[in-house]
Amino acid sequence: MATVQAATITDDRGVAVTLPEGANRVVAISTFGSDLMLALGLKPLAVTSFGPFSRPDFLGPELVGVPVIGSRAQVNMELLSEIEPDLILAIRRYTEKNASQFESIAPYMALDLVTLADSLRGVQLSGDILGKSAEATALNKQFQQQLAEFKQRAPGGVSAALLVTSSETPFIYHDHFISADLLGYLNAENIGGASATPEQALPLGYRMGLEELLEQDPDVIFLFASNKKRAFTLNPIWPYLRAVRNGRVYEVGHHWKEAAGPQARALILQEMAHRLYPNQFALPALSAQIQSRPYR
Amino acid sequence: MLLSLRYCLLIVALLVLLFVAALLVGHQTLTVPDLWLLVQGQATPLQKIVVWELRIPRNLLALLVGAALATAGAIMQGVTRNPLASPGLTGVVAGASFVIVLLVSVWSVDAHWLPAAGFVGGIGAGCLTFYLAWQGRLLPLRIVLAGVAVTALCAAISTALLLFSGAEAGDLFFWLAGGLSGRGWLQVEQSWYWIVFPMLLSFALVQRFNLLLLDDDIARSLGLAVGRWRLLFLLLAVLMTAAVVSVAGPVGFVGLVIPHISKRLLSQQHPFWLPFTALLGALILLCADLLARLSAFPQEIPLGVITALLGGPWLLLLIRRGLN
Repeated sequence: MATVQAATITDDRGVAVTLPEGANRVVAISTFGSDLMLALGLKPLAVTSFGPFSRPDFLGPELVGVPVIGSRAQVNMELLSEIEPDLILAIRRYTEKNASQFESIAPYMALDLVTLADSLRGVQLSGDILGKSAEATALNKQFQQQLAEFKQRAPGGVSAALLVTSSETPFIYHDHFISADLLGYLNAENIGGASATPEQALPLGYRMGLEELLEQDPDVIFLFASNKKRAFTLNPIWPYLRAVRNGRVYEVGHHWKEAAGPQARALILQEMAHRLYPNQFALPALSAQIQSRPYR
Repeated sequence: MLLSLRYCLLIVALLVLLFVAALLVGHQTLTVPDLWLLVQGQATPLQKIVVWELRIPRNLLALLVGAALATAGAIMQGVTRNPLASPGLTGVVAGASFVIVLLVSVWSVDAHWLPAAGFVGGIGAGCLTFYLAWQGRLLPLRIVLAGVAVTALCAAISTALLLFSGAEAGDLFFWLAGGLSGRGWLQVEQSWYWIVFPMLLSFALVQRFNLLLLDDDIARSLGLAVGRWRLLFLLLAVLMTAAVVSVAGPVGFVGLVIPHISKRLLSQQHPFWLPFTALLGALILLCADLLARLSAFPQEIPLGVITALLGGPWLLLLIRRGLN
């Protein structure tokens, strides 16, 4: 890490975050932070866990040995303070309640990372404070070009659902959640639809009754990572769903939940494109930690 | 007698009407002719699946849950002679919830094992309450105190586990609100015998139950082994409640309020009071489930929220009347 330029950025709380000597010791309180820093050629001093895994290994071998200081929502403050960071890069909704504690340790930058627009803005803002503005701009530009290219190639005419939870009633994501938003760039319809309160980031979706799921009957179902059998797939209506009958239900990696990072969002786009249109798009090379697979 | 028969017939008629209505309404609205075509096997495949695989088992489960909670509540209030007793008094609801929260947040157990685990947890908590309350015999006050202690212990550990349950917290909070969303034949198959047989046994033993409503000394002078019969009825209530919680989560107020409504319509000493209470519970729960399905359509409100909204004011009214 060799960034020494002074920087002042206004984060998503509207708070000005100033680094007189630039960011040299950065802790990533989210997979987004790790993802972005590695994409910019930087390395975080500490990271948070990646769902059920200790680290987001899919980002590459650079994170091996980097200390894990909790989860994105529950950070061990003692470990964090021992690291003596000069910047804490975090997701706002999980950490803002502890803002004063974070700020007593180091400058704290909180980002909203729900929508694709959030992702693009977060990459740019973080790049700015890390002294890598041009590189961040390039990452966003490259992704936007990829979106445009995929949109042009995607034939369309398919519907999909992004389902999460292991309970009897699945939770489905609305359009504004990044992974669901990408469906639109692939000319696919998200049956979760738009939020009734588009001015708010939350809720990310809602619990869709099985009756509604059956009526909407999506062509493809993406099941978010779970380490146990999902109760709603045991319901007698499950085999009647078109996606189930056609073998088009896929379990996807945990990065679909933490999709704002530049590497994660690109991998999701490529993988989603292949699962929606297997003849048009190739399956990208993915690590075993996050590779999607047909659900049996 | 004639009045009670009329009440029974009225409730049965309302139950049938509500059951049919609950088959018709939903994301896909059906008409009575649609239902008739379905009976004749001529409905569309989608209609067949929706009715046979979703709405019928859900309605049946609502009937079972309502009848079981009302009967268990009536038994608890009767044998403890406590008008504020509910099926959860013996710690069974908190025990079942604790085991399910524990398994989901610590061991990530698959969903199809949870009803059995919750049932065992509920029975375990109930037995612990009986063990703590036992002093040569089961006194109502000691049952209440032991039940409160077991409930508090289970609830405290469950809360601590919820704080560390991470991604599972949303599912657990949803489950803890109680409900029948997404439940189907699997849950009916897993629970019906633990509900129906104890319920029928309690109906068959109604004479003993009526004696337990009397003072212990009077019941003993009439030849009743009070401690033994009290324990048996409590066990029946525990079995039914544990079965309900394991498939529907904690559904509050039904077991507390329905026996009071039932007492206003029919004497508690009436030989059909327990079955009547069960019918009333089934009716109210089917109604509450319909409200849960429709009041925030197309999303659902957890059933426990609806029963609390219906039962809370009713309970306040009862308390106020009682005080006056």
